[in-house]
Amino acid sequence: MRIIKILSSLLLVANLAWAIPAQAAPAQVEEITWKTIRELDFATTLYYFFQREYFTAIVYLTASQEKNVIQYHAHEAQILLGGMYLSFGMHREAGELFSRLTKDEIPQSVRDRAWFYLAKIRYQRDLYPEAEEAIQRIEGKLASEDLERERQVLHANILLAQKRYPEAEQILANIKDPNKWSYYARYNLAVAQIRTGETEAGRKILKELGSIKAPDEESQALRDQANLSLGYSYIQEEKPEQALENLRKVRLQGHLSNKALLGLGWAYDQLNEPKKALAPWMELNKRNFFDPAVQESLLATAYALGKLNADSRALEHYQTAIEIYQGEIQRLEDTINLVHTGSYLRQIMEGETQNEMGWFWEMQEAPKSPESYYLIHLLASHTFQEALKNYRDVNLMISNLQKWSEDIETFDTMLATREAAYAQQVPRIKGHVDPQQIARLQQTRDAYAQEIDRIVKDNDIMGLANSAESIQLNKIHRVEERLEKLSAQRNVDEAREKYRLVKGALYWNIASNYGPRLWDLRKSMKELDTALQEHNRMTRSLATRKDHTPSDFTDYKSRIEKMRGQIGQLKQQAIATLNAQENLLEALATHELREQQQRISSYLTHAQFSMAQIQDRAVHKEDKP
Amino acid sequence: MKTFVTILALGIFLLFGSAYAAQPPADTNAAQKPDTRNLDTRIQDLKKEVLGLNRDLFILEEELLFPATSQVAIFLSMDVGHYFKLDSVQLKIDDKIVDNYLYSDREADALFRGGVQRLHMGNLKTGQHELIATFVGKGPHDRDYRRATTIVFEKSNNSKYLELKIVDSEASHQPEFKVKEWE
Repeated sequence: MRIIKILSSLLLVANLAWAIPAQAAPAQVEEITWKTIRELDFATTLYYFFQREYFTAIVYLTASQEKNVIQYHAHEAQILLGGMYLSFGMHREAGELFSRLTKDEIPQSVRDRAWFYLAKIRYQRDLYPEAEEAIQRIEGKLASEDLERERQVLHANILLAQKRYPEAEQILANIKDPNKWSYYARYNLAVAQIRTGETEAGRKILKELGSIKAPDEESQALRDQANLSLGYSYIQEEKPEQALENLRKVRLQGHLSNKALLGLGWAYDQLNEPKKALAPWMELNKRNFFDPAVQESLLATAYALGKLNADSRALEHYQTAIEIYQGEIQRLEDTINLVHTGSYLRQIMEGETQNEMGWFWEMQEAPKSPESYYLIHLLASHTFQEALKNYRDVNLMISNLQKWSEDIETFDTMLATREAAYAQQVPRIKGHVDPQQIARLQQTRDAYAQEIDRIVKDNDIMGLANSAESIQLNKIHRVEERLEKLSAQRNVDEAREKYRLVKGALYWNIASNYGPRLWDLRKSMKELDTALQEHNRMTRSLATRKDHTPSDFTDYKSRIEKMRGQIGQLKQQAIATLNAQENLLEALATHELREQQQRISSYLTHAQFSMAQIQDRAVHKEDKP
Repeated sequence: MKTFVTILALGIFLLFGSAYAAQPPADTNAAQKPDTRNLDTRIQDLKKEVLGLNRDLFILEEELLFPATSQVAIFLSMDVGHYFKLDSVQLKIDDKIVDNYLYSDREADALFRGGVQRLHMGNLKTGQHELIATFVGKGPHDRDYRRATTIVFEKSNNSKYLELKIVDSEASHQPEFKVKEWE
């Protein structure tokens, strides 16, 4: 059978790579061993595995293991199973399985890679201590430089998520030839440091990142982010000149340009140059209102106009801002209500293929609806994506259980059919299973064997005469008797001579055929013994089947009943879990929308307050003589 | 007004900290954000149970539909497969069509990579039987290709496995179609 790369492809670990393009994957696959596949059931599991039908592949493999038909590939099967558990999002089972495999059963390089991907999936599911536990299990360096760097970055991110910043920094500092993954991690570290008061340390990293070579869009975006964050951190400390220096480095056409424009305005405001602040803010006013920077710019523009004593224009802008904010708060409320009906989740799942891709599956496109604008960051987050994968997998399981709940009804029919067929066969079986008949056959066989032994022992050549020869021997014997009787009455010499010749010829024929005939007999005895053995075996088998079949039917009935119960129970559990997962996804979306609503509410409050202040000022001006 | 600026800038500061979706740091609002971990554990448990049940159902179904004494299983494999692109297979046992299978690109690719398909499961009485497998696809130079292979086999009281193999012949630069009996 086909020789294939088994161990390296078992985990399809390259394909599990986090945002590494699929076409890059094969280059990362380590060639561990070539081996001939010797078991059909193992190869059949691979057929499903290569199609990413992990659910079916796991069922087929575990069924084959249960039937004990995979022995030569037992170790590979375990590794494959661990990899498939990972691919189906079952990181706990995968972890337990890999922990059980000894060093002889799985090469260290494969084991390390398995732990790496376990750590990854756990991190993406916000299971940080578990992710740490997995990554600590890696004993050596991973296969390629890229993967090894990714491991270090993942470890740093896991530590950052647990607020262990010094340890994260140490790991990141040790990365040689940093790539974009380490840049992302360093950015996260810098932000975390600034948030926790280690401002200078964080800024140092951001300055480095703000000056990296950026040959592609992704690294340019990262550089922009670093400069933007630096700019804002200086605004926070009221150091507008440094803020301006960094904010000006952000590309005007990039996706962070809105935030950069907003920041520029605030920096100019801190320099007490409201006229200069107006320019970027009024540019922002014209942009897409879903962007928080644009939302804030409405307020900021009115504020700057107020500072320039253009009160009536300021009032107009505050009024416009208030109307827009109120409308937006309502739209967000409507979106929250829509999310609660479940229709947005249905839109996401609509049109997605229902194959078994498990952890591999990713939402391809956000639904083209206003809700997506509000939720775009959430939709791209690991937390939401992982929750969505779980939701999809639970849906898959419900479909599976529903199908089984229908199919199991046919099991009763199959069993009834077999029972009826068996009932028809029982009389025939009884006819064939007759111990007395077997004994008779054996006796006959033994009699033949004894006769052959006697013939050989007594050298009874005539004993192997065939029927024609036996008749002739009888005739010869009668002739001899007649001759004896006649010899008293007449001369029988001539007749006696003829008799002697005929008898001699007959004896000669029989004697010369004795050897071949004995050989033929012994051969026939062996064939008879074989046939008798087979007959005995079949008879015993029939007898066993006759005895056991009724209890087999009972056993089948009880298994069918038990599984019917399990299907019902698991289906209920799955539906409850699906509802809970749906609620979770809605809660994540609602949380995100409420945060946005709260932000806009605070803008609204400020706008109303500022407007009241201007109006109050105007009233007092009129009152003064 | 300084307070006003501080509050607004703080709003943006919160924005910039979590702006980079690719690798978001630990969320400052983690305490309020819904916790996904408990449900993840519950789903893991559910998956384990459902897979276990599916395994048991699969075995039971096979035992009921195809008892070991009469079971015959026909597999299909491809060794390399440069000279033949498989489109479909038809199986006949004792002159009766028992299966027709059309291959998707994904399935053909899985075969090409070394997977083996369990093409057909059935029941046969003990004794002699004839299997004819007809393969349709594209041969060398992308020409339409239709070939058949046949085997007469003996069915005993044990399960019978037959493997249809599509093998590249380097000598003739043609595909060969063979049948292997497994004990």
